[in-house]
Amino acid sequence: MAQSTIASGAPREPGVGLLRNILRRKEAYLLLFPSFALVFIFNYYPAASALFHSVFEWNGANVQRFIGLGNFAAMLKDPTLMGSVANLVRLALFSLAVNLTFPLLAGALIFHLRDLRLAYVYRVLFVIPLVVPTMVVLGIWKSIYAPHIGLLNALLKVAGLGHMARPWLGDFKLALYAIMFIGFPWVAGMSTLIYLAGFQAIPSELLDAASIDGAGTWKRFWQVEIPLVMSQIKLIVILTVIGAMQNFSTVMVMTNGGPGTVTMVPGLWLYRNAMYYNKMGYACAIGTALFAITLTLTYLNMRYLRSSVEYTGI
Amino acid sequence: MSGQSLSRRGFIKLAGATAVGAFLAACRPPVQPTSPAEPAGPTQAAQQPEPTKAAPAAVKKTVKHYAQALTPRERTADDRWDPPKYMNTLKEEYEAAHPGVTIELVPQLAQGYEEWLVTQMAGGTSPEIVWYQRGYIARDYAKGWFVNLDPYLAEPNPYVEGYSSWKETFQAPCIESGKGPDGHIYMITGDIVGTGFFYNKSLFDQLGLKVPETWKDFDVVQRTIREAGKIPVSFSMDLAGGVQLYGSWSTRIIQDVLYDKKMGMIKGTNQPVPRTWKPGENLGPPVMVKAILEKRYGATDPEWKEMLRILKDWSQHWPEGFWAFPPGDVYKLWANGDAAMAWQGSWMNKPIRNDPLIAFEWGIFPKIPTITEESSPFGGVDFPAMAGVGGVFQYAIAAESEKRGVLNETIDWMRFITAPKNLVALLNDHGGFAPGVVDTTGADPSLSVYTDMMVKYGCERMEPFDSMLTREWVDLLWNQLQQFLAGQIELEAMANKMQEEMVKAAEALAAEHPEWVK
Repeated sequence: MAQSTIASGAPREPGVGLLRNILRRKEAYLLLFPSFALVFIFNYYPAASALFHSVFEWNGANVQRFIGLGNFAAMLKDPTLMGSVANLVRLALFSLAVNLTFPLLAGALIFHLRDLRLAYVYRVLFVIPLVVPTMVVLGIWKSIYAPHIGLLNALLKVAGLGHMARPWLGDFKLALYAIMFIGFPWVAGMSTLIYLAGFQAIPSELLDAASIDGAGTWKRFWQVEIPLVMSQIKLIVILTVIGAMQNFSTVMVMTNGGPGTVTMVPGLWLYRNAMYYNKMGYACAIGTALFAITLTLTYLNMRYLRSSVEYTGI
Repeated sequence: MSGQSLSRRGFIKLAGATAVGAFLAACRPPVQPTSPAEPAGPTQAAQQPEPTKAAPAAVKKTVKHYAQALTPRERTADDRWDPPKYMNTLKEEYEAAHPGVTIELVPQLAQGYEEWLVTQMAGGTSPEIVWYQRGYIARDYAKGWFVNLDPYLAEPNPYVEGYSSWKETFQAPCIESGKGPDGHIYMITGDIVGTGFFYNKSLFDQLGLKVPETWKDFDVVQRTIREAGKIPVSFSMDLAGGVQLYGSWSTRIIQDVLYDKKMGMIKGTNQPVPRTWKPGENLGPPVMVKAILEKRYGATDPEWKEMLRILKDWSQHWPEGFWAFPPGDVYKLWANGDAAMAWQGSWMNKPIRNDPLIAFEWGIFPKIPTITEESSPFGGVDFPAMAGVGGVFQYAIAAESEKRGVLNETIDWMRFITAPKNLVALLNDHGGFAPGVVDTTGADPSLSVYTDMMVKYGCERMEPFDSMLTREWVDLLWNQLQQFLAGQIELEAMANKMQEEMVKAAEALAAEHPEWVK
């Protein structure tokens, strides 16, 4: 009921303005105020500030000059940024491929476990790694990849494959792939839980009906379960794209964009311009461009990827 | 329930108002701290004829101090030696004598200090005293972030007798290193750092090797070590700190040798430039910018290319994949016996003597073997000392401290801790840096190996790449150097690229500081 009310809009009261509306519900607004204030200060204000400063030559302190779209034009001529965009595309596509397969399969497997206690244990096991700070995880992977005292090269040597040992994060051809490989087998995390929640929300009648109609395991998975977790898939696509656009901490910790610039990503280049090169205006322009791209991709995803609701016809 | 919900129109209005508010707030002109033409210090000094008198106040004042590695902390499981604590002793002593002042020692950050500093400064929330570096000054001095210390240095330090000014109590190169391109001092440098080759003496003896005197001998020694299955020199050129350290050290001293005969021409005097650690002789950013624009110095010079060649040749003796080798592992590789030599420094003086992992006899040779004319057409003179001023004791005072009304107390605390007796004790407790004051009575004698080198051979004359031009340029340099040494780009391509970018950076700096190129 409440949903339909929101969807159709509250009944209008003639002559009641926004301010009056707010005053009538002041307690609710008062309670909401702290949250809104914090969101405003830490999310909207910096974003609006970045948008504004993207058209300035600004050093972050005391030099500010309006240059129109100069920063955006400079971006197109910046070879490091252009190279970083190519890296971002590769990382985002890989991340999408991974997030749309491994956690989905892990979620499906847990969902189909007949022993509910065991399913619960698996779910907990997948959640536990979430409490480990990202920096610790990256530190561990950095140790694994370390050229002389790293686990990976040591294992290769033990297995008689010493010729394959290399400075993984320093290899100009493999460094980006080494970064992609971090987190293998990519099943522990929020994505698995989101998929699992989607599977668990499928009405059991639909699954039973599919079985009675003679659908086998694969057919049921592809033609019943996948369409019914499309909302989750859509969410994962959005979160992955946004995450890929924003994430630069992994690259910064693992390689700092190197060797050379083979692992540079736009977020890290933005950060370097803002923090080290006194080019805060240029950094704001990169941020604005990333925001515009993310918004476009999210819109396309929302517009063209069907959700579970559309499949069920609700 | 529906009567309590906000209508769609109302929501849109509210959202619109919020967005407009956010945008308008963001468009607010930023606060202009201080005009670059009017640095904070001199104006303040004129208004404050008696800056040193930190009279007990009715309201207790707090001076926050980011003391970097001198910050006292408890020993952790990772520490194989006792961390320094003496700053606490000084704090207690000072607070006892100044009941109106509290000294708050800000915990040291594990990483990301530079980013933290920039954001703290931009936000006006920094501690009153921050750790700073010479390389940052050219970038930041015009932002009005720091107090010009000239007027305070000209006054006597009340905690020291026998000197007419606070400035005179320091070794001249130390205090002069805090000078910005505008001629004002923005940083107090109170220590001297030295580097040298730590070598595995047991392995050298076993292989019948002696400490090499020339670059050619050095090469023979390294080849012998490699043939014995060991890594000759532990080295890092990774972008997460390695190249910024080892790349900087190696280029600054090699360049000094190769450009020896051209130094006067680059300086514009056409007179020999003595290698000294006395102030006023070095070729700072203004000199270098002018030389670059007048084509008296550049990355396509034969000397510059020779520097690249020497580094490339030397890199065959570094660990495999040195461009991805973490700088933190340089010492470990040497300490566990896998590498025969490691370029380390005075900061390891105390740790190395207390490291239980070292199972061999070791030694230090602080002088890099000489590049003779046999090894390079531009060789023939000794390297300068691999030492310099400023390590752990490099502090600037935030201009914000005046707004907070604690500038006098901050200056007074700085004077207290730089009094030779206190500074020597503080640095002895740390154990890795020699005091940069004139009166070094009681200083740790084990560090004299570095200061002796500095006095005997002098320091490099040309501004190191880190602070020669812009940060963007030097980042590109390290990046290109890494690619060149890893065999990804050719020498000519690197030299041409760096020349092109060098001119651009010099032009940008000349536009910012027209007085440099007059």
